Amino acid sequence: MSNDPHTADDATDPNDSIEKRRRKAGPFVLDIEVDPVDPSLVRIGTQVTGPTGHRAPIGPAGEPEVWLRHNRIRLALHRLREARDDATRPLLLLHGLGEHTSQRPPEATDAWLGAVWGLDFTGHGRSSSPRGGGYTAEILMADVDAALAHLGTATVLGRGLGAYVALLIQGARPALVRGAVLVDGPGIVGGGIGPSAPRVTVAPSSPVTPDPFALAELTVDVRPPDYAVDYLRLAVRYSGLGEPVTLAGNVRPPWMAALQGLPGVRELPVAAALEDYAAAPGVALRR
Amino acid sequence: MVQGVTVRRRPDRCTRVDSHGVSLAVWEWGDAAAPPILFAHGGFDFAGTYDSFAPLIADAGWRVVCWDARGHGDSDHADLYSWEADQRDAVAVMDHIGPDPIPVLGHSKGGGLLLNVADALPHRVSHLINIDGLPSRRGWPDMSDRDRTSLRADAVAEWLDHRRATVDAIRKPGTIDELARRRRRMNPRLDLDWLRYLVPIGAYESDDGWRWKIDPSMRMGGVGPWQPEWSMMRLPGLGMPVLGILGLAVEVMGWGTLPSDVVPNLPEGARFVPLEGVGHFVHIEQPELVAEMVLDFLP
Repeated sequence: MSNDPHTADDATDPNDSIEKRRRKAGPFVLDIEVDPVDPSLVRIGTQVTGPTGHRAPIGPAGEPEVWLRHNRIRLALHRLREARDDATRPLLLLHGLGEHTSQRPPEATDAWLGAVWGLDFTGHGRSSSPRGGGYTAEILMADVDAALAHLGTATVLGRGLGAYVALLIQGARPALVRGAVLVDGPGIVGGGIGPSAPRVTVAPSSPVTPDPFALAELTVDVRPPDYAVDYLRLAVRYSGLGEPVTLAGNVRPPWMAALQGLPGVRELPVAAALEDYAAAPGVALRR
Repeated sequence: MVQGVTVRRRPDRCTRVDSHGVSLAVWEWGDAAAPPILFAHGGFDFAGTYDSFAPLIADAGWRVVCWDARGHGDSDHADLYSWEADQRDAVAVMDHIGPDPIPVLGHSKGGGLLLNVADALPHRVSHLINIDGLPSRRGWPDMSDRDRTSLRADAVAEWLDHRRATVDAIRKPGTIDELARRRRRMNPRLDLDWLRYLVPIGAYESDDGWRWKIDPSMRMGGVGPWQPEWSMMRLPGLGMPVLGILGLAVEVMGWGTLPSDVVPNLPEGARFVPLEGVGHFVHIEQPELVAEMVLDFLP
């Protein structure tokens, strides 16, 4: 199973009927049809699925459902899927460095019965970009906190840079974040475990996202293992969850390797991790 | 013994420099044709806090250039703040001055900042002067793991709460005297008359009173992986002449750094002057003494 929403296997099997594919894909897929020219292609919205079931890259989410403000930055919070069970808390997706919220959540989230949301970080997707940079992973953590102020409690699934931010917010808001699932994606490594060669970072200005300053600054942000472990300890101590952090990817940069094997951390595929986090009291999961 | 301010003089010129979309207020004392030296102020200060010290250097034949850091003084309130961004702004001001290497002088956070710039761009810095801007890891050496976790939980949550509250934040208004007395809590050794002098420079007046200009989204403390020794580790490798001045009287805005923290890290030939009985704002408490040391050190 892939965790990458750009490449994850589709819920569609070309041998299924359109109706069956629609059911499998869930109620959030608005438009699905067989290509009249090439019947081996199935269109789902703007996505094209080939005979292998491998999804071609899909575009960014459109106009966001909610605009948030984080100080002077305008953040786009996209509702990607309606809740199928109002009692289930939302799932919040955090994209990787240089990415944006995709139109469609990854397949591994299909069983989540609550609403699925995606946040565009500062300088990414539909969110606004600061003048003159100044990005830190902690600012992105506060972006997520702005989303939590709107959503209330949520389970968080983060890719790459978003995985690191998911760890931070799980530790920083242990009562609001009910489980952080960390998967591979751009920006997962960061700028190493300690101060690097001295440098002054500059980037060209850009009228569009991703902001080049975000790419320049967030690839060199330092992630000491003991700092990552501090956030894990906060999560373990204050969240009330037995294992608040799930490592669901393949890559283990030093900050993540430091978590591996510690109390409160487990390694599971995304779908299984979400099933477990969703099973917490007050949460229902589609079987 | 606090000698205090004897000279006060506003800068002779002010211009604006664009740093990647952030407009910085850049102030100058002295003859525009004189050799330049770049000053950097400390956190929560502004260029005007050099009004008692910069004239002494300018009158000795230097063009003193100092910018208000982003979010401080008359510079733009930026969308984001970071150590990286401050370094970039420093280089934008250096580019405004010219391509040749110049002496630089920084106090407190400004000292740490220029230390990093000197390490990153040694071809731009001819001499480095650091005034009580060498952080060290003093503080709670015997705190248990559990206590540290508690501390961080509070610190992180408070920081996030602050971020949530900054959207429409505005600083508290007051009279000149009230703002001066508020500032004195962070500058307890400085003369109240001097702090009153700073208010109309670092604050603006509205119908309901004066407010400090500094961006209300900024606050003391923060969260992040940075450790003080990361700045100190830049010091030993510097190749340009270095003058370090340390105030040994411990106070709220200082680092509590001791000579024994600094001496092993001094590069060859560096001058280091620890001053007993002087606080963190060394150049404001002892402007003549510090000016004398700086002028003796400069070419």
